[in-house]
Amino acid sequence: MVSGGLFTQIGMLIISVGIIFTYIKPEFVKIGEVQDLISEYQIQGTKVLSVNSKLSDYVSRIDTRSAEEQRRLKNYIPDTVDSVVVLRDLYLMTKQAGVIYVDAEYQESNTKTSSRASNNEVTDNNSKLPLAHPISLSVEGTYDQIKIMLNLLEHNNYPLQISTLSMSSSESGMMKADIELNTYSYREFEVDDNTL
Amino acid sequence: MPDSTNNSFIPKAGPVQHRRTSASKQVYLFTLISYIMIFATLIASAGTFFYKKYQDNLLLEEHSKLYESIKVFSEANMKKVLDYDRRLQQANNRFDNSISIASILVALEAATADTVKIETLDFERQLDDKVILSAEIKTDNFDSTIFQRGTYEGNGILQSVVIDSLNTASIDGNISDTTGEQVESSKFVSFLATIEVPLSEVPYTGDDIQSSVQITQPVTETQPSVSDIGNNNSTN
Repeated sequence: MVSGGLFTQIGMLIISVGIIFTYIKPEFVKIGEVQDLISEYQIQGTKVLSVNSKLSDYVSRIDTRSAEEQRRLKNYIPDTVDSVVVLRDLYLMTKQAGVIYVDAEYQESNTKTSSRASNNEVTDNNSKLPLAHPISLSVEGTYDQIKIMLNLLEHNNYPLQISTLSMSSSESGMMKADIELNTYSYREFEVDDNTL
Repeated sequence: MPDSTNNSFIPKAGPVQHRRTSASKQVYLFTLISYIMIFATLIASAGTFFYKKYQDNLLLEEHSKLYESIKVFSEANMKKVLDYDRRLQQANNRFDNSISIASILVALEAATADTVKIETLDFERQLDDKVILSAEIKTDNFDSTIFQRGTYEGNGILQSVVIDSLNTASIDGNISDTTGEQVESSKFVSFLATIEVPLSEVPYTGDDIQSSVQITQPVTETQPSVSDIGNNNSTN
């Protein structure tokens, strides 16, 4: 005759095994997953803290730049080119150089992502390059005057880079210079999640 | 008086002596295992439950920490930094590729002999690589042409000199090909000189144009020797 105690003991063993496989083991798996998540959160948290620290460092460095330096930078690569100001500056340069101001034309750069400059430096998909704004300028004068004019263009406080220059004798006995030059404005960029 | 207790015919039994049986102290291994298992399982279940709770709380804590860090992050500041950096890069790019056309003119002047006359002069900037100069030049004879080519080639700034479209014009203005005796009898020689100037040779320095140009080889017009003329003719 089998005693009732044996059945109880077998039942206890079965319950134990059942608890192990239905509760303890799955919970251990979940705990492992939670621990993985915790370590991932810690890694990402460290990264975010590092980025925040660097960002505040950079911001403070920018803020310590003097207003004059900031103004010069914005003057060198402005957000937009004021065509009137550029043409006025060119006119003043011709006066200073003593050449005759024949003609000047400013051509608006058509889009933010492309340049109309014929053979120029700006290519698409390269944010290191600013937007080029072509300007054509025709002047007449002596060789020395034209040379002074070129020198003044180079010494300007924002870029007026000559892309083509054609010099020839004019009918009046003076030299004629047809200049294609570029001035530049800041090329905006799209801020997306990858950039940030 | 006789003892009445001994008169019964019923046999008397002596006092019952119960065999005292002691309780069994034998513990079965199976029983032990089953008890250990059940208690260990219960303890482990409780431990697992509380440890899971602890880990969940830890996860929530880390989550809130990360959320707080992300909240501190300022997109506006990031945009400001990226914007400033990009503007600096663009300014730097243009500044590094600034050149001095006036310096090229000074170099050209220094390398041009007195006997030649530049009719037209064209500059074309080829991206941020080089400047191509095309000059229509008129000289009085071939010797001057050869000499001029030599001075351009010997110049430190002007490079890759190519002379083509070579023509001669006689006194009456008729243009003929450059062969044989006609060369000696022609009044002037015109040619197109194409010269390359690497941008690195004429960087903008902010100096005055007179000081920014250094001619590596001083130009002095000398009469070319016969052997030089022969060599140069063979290369043409």
